[in-house]
Amino acid sequence: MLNICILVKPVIDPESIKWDYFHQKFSYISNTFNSADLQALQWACDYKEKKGATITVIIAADTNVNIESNRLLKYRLDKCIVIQQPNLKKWRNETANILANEIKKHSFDVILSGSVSEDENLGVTPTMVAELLHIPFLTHIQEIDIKNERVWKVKRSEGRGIVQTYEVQLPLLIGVVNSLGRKRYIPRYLRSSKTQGEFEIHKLKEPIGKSNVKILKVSEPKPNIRYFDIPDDSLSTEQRLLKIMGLSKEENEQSGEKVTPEVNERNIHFLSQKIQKWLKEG
Amino acid sequence: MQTVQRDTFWMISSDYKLAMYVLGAFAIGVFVYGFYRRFRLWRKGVKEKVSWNDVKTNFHFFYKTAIEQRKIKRDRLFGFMHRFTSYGFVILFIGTVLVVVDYDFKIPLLQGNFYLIYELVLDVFGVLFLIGLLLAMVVRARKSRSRLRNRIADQVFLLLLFLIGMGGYIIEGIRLSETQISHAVWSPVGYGLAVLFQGNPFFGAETYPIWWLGHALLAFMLIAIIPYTKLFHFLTAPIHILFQPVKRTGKVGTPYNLEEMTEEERYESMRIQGVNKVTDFTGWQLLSTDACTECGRCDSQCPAHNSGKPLAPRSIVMKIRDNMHVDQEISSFISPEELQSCTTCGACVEACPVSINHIDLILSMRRGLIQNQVMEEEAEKTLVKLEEQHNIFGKPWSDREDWSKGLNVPVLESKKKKTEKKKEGA
Amino acid sequence: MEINIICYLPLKDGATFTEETWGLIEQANLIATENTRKIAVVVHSGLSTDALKQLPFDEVYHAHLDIEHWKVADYHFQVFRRIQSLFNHQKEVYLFSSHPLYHDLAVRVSMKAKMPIITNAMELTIDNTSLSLIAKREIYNEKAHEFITFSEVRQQYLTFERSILYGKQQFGKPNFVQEIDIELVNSPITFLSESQVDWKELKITEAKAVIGIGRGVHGGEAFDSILQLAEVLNAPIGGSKVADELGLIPREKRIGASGSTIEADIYVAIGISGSSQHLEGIKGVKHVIAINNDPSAAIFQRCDIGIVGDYQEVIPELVRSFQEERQSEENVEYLHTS
Repeated sequence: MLNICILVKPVIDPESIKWDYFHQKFSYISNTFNSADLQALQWACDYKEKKGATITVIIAADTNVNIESNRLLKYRLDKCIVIQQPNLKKWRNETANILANEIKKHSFDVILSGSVSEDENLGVTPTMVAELLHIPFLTHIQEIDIKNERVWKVKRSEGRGIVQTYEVQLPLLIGVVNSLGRKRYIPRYLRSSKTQGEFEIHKLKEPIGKSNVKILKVSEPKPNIRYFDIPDDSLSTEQRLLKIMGLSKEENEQSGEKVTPEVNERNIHFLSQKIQKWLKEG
Repeated sequence: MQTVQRDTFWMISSDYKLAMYVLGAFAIGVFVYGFYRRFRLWRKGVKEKVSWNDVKTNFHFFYKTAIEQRKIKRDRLFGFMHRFTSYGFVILFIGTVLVVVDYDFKIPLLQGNFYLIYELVLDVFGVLFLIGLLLAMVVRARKSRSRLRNRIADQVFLLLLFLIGMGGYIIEGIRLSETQISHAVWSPVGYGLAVLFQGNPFFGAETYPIWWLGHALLAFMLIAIIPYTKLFHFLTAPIHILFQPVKRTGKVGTPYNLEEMTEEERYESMRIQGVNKVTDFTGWQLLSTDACTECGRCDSQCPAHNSGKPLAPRSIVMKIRDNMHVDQEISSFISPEELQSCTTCGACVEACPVSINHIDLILSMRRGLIQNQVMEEEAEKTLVKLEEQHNIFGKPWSDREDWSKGLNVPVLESKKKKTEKKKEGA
Repeated sequence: MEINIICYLPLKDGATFTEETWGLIEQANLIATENTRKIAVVVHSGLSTDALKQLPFDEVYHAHLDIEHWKVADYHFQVFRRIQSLFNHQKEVYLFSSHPLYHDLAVRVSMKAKMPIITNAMELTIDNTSLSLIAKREIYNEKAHEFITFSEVRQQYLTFERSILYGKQQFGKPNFVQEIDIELVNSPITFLSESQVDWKELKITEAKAVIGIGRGVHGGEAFDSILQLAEVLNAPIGGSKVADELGLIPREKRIGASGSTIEADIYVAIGISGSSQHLEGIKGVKHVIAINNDPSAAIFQRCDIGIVGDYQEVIPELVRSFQEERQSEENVEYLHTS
């Protein structure tokens, strides 16, 4: 029976959070869990239904954060461990140490987690955990196939429909993305409260020392300025303005007719050449 | 003058009499056994208490549905048919009971004028009975009601009843023609037949016992098969209508009240869990499925059925009834698509002449489906969005004030709390 | 004190420089001063030494991996550690791209060196007073930005968000180009294959080329040729709202204001009139080709190339032209060969 560990991060709901321009801080704050982590948990529960496994969920959170335990206990997990440390947010990348220390106390076959969390968009913690435990890892996985107990096949998307397949050996850490599966609805009173998982809370003290990355400021979304070509000096002022606005036509593009009224060999050949050139571009 | 009384067992030898009692006892035994069998299955369901108040409210409803038969009257032709047949059958049945009381219990009821009125009433209702049956048989033969199921068995039941009715008249006719009693005119039909049979050896005193025994056998056969076929609705429909916990059309409620339950109870409650096996239904729900007459009015009114969806309310009820003896999972004989196509419009409940509440059954099974996470994708997406953002559209919950922006809608905000907007628990 | 900026150049399939590569170099240039030495680390599976000798860096270190090893971050890590052992610098800034391959590598290396890392940076600036690097990052699904800096000075690792890496090719002359050889240790992760999702399963929002059908296709008979075109271009077939209502395409393949917005490079609109709602769905498409019987169709205002004619004549010809091309040339990997 596989011993699966899921790392779940409690985040502030990014869907509904808003930046309050007036007070210069976040408003509409509500707690939820990172959806990629829940996808991993869902996948593990589906696997448990089919082949049986032991699922342990480990959460590292700030002492002030209220964990919605009911929501997690709906899943068919066996154990849920919450580790609380004060001022966790200040210590970027400290969560990985906490998680790794906890994981070392157990022996897991595979660790699943989301690749990137939706709040801070770092994508560092799963990799750090794997490195601290000296196990291999792969992130941004969108599909997992089990070949046999110790050898799995995972797929990663490269964008534009290209899919890479890797073969991995357990033990390892897999970081998943949201497209791993469909979000399922789990009815609250599905299981008798007697068969629910156990829930443990551990409390830690704040570490001494300083974090190696410092957050200077959090602000409203500033514009991302993208620099394009500066128009040529040879053009007149009006033309330069039009070019910046995107309204002028390039001289070296085929000028003249864009519309051809008849279908003949030459036009078709021209069209196919153009398409091939465009296909090569990307 | 000698008092007029019923000449029971005229020309019947004691052997035949004995045979009748024996067969009668046997038939009644089979009947009771059949009833007991179904009764045991109903009891396997979840217990549901029916209070006397509910039954009192049901009296009026019982009168409208079972006695006045209002729902059947909606189909006018069938209304006549069923009223003739059912009133006729009930009157004839009461007549037979009175004979038993008169002869076997030796209480001299059927005498004198009462007896004459008795004969008249029985004859008239007997004719109505036969007319109703003829109507029904013709309608079935011409297939003018597509909602009916046209199996051989259905026609056979009608034929059986018809033969019993005819048989009764024939033996009355023979008796009257042979005995030539003066009050024969009080049984008009019998008298008419007697005139016909005059001198006919086929309908004479020698053949009388045969006819009599034949009539008895058919009647006993009817009694015996009642609990095993749809004829059971003679009994179960009135019981169901009278005693069913009051759930009228149009009200779709939940059988549980979350606010009155503790957290512990909610996990264990069968009512929230829904129905996964046949025995998860309440006993009354199981009884209601036995009341089904297979008339198909529900199917004909169901919008899902009429638009090609896989749902057929009648088949749901019948499948539960037929699978009651094996306690298995509902999903093995009713598919999720059938249950999910129900629009809960209530047309089936409104149309049903025996007040079966199909919606109640379907919703209980749906609860079972959801608890097992069997849902269509769209419905599941909505539930997930509801859980995460507290609205079914999936839009962020922080946007819910957007409609009021720029409209100067006054906002009530407590002065003590800062404008820290918090999401309320689900 | 001299700062060393080390760029780990991202390549496509280990053999080509892309816009991302030049973009990373430009980001390096943005933070370089006169006192900086720029070093390039190129781990490739097939670049010519000439190309390497023309990179605009002071020093270039490169190593060759087979393509199966190149796809796995583990081997990159082994090469990088070897190269890092050659370095003997006081201050170093490492720049990577945020592609999962390089991201995993960067985090692992920073962990091993016990040095700080900032990931998914959108913009990098130098603070005027302290001369330290400030990175701007997006958080909460782009609803806010945060500015963070390093507390540690000796080694700093940075990953750049891929969308901001774009630039023009630059040339230069490095002082030296050194090749590194290394004995690789087998990793428990093996790269198996890379495949293009078939156009039948490809989502229209992810594809490079998309075909759209509209009312003009309804009732026509040459639908086979459209399927052949889809096969050749590996393009999923979407359509306008009318096509959805006529039952030609499923609901999720609808393109437009009430459907999906596609981000393809090429869009072939067949029999589509080009109403503004539909154009809203293709507003980001680079190249649009329109085929329609009606010369006054609005789509012709938007398209780059338009053909006024019956698609039943044009598409088979086009498909045939591609197939001839495929037979004559060998190097047609951009065409979907089945």
